[in-house]
Amino acid sequence: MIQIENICFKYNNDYILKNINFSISDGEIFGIIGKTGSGKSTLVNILSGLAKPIEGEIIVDGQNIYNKKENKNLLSYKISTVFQNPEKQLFSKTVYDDIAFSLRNQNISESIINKDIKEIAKFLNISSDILNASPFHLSGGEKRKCALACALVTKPKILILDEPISGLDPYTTEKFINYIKDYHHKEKNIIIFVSNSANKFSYLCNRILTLGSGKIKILDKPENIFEKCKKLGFTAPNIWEIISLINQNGYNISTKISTTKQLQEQVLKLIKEKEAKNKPCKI
Amino acid sequence: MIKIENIIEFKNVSYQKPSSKYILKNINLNIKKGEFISIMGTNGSGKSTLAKHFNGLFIPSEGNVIIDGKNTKNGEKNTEIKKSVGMVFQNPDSQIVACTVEEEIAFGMENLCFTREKMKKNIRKVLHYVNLENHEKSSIYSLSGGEKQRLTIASVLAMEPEIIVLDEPTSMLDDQSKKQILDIILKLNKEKNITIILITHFTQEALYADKTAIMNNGSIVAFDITKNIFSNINLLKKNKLLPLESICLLNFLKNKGYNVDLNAYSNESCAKEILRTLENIK
Ligand SMILES: Nc1ncnc2c1ncn2[C@@H]1O[C@H](COP(=O)(O)OP(=O)(O)OP(=O)(O)O)[C@@H](O)[C@H]1O
Ligand SMILES: Nc1ncnc2c1ncn2[C@@H]1O[C@H](COP(=O)(O)OP(=O)(O)O)[C@@H](O)[C@H]1O
Ligand SMILES: [Mg+2]
Ligand SMILES: [Mg+2]
Repeated sequence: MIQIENICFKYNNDYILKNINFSISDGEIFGIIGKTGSGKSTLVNILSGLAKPIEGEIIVDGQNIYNKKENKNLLSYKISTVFQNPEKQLFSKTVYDDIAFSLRNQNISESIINKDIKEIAKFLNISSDILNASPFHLSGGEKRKCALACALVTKPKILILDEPISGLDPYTTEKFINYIKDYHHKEKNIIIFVSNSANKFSYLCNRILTLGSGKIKILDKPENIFEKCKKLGFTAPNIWEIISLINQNGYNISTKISTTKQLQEQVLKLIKEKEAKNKPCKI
Repeated sequence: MIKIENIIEFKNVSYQKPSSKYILKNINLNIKKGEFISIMGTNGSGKSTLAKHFNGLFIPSEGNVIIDGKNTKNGEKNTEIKKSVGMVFQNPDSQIVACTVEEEIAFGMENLCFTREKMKKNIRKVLHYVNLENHEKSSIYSLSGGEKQRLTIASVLAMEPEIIVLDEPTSMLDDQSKKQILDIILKLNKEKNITIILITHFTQEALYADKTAIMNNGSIVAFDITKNIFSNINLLKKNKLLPLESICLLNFLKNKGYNVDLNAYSNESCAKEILRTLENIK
């Protein structure tokens, strides 16, 4: 469990975060949504142990992460963060070595490392050419995929992802979301997903918090957040929007639907039901 | 007969890094002045590598790139080409060099030896154009991500380019900032007749363009009127691009025998089509 208690943070003389309070339960996928400059990455840095807040505390499983005595090893083994700029996280000679880095630090055998890396690479669509390439010779999206692989492969108790799908193509995004779904089902860990918009990933979240000018605006279930998206200046996911526009006319399609296939089935069902109802009875 | 000039011509362009595989393979591409082109393709398909060929940042290993009649291989024309092609990248932080908004916009113009008066005039003009008036003296650090990206567009615009190439200019931005940037790009194209090349992963953004190119594994595999590209679900799937939810739904219903308009791209028009179909059931 993570408790965020009354966090305040300043750059120069401006408050970037003010009196932030919330907690995340074990096994929760927790979304944070806010516009650019709303303080999301600042909060990520604080949760990752990189920026001490001027006020307030972060308690992870009962331990204050900014208390030097208590937090020994806590951060490196429990919390793994993929930062907004993946370049800054890749430094080895090959992508493979980058992904293996923290596993090697834990003295895991090379054969297990190899197996784990092959698995994650397959899911994220990372080819063996890329595994053997220098991380400095990759396209933007390829770097992002590699940074994600580095974090996922360690199976952290707490996984923090700062705008993980920015720069990923939609196909890889879809694969990544499905992977996270399976991964979370197995690991039941805490995943904190930070984003500047409501998107397909938001459906996976148990709860979503929206940040605005350094304060918490809303903390609620995804469906309820989508409902308020327009007012908050965000766009709701396409599928949710199509459903909501249909439902406004007296229909009742579930707003929890998140895939195109489900949407197609539900709309067809609606049409068939209406056709059946309107069929004249044969005598 | 009137000959229509291409402002951009790629002729059999291939590109490889020393001791690496081909990143671009035999690219042929003709773009006319004032066209708005979008380029889509999966991660690693070669979009950014292609983008860097437009202003001579990369020189083809084979073939030629001709910008407004000038071959990028001709070193003497380098400055002219750099002046006529502006580049905007994904991360504004990696592009901004100065400390204040004004200095940032002046920077590019100084390199092109514009006069002081002209610089002053252009700064005011471009800030107005991207809705950043009254920010002349602002520190870069006080700007949000969306404002920074508008600043990079202003800096490029101040150099009076004929062509602007934008490589995922909105991928770090929130929805409102995305929309602002796209509206500015469209305005540049329609009002100033600037040729636009927009690289994006968002179908909604590509739909602003007249024509769309699809890249796959270093090649351009399709180049057509944007609507034709996005209604071709098979083409998109073959190249690992996700068709819009609205188009998928409408095609699905069409295949089930319902008479729906396959051009209802937006969520609103798609929902309208569904509601119309429901109401027509007698
Ligand atoms: N310096 C380099 N040396 C070797 N290969 C490179 C280098 N830079 C890029 N590549 C490779 O060239 C291919 C195309 O890269 P490019 O950056 O053009 O892709 P992209 O389409 O822009 O991808 P993204 O959507 O991720 O930005 C990729 O496979 C990449 O790994
Ligand atoms: N190193 C820094 N120095 C000064 N101000 C900063 C620094 N980093 C971020 N800021 C400011 O803090 C605010 C929040 O930034 P950030 O947490 O990166 O937002 P987000 O991730 O939501 O886009 C912004 O106004 C930004 O300009
Ligand atoms: Mg951020
Ligand atoms: Mg790229």
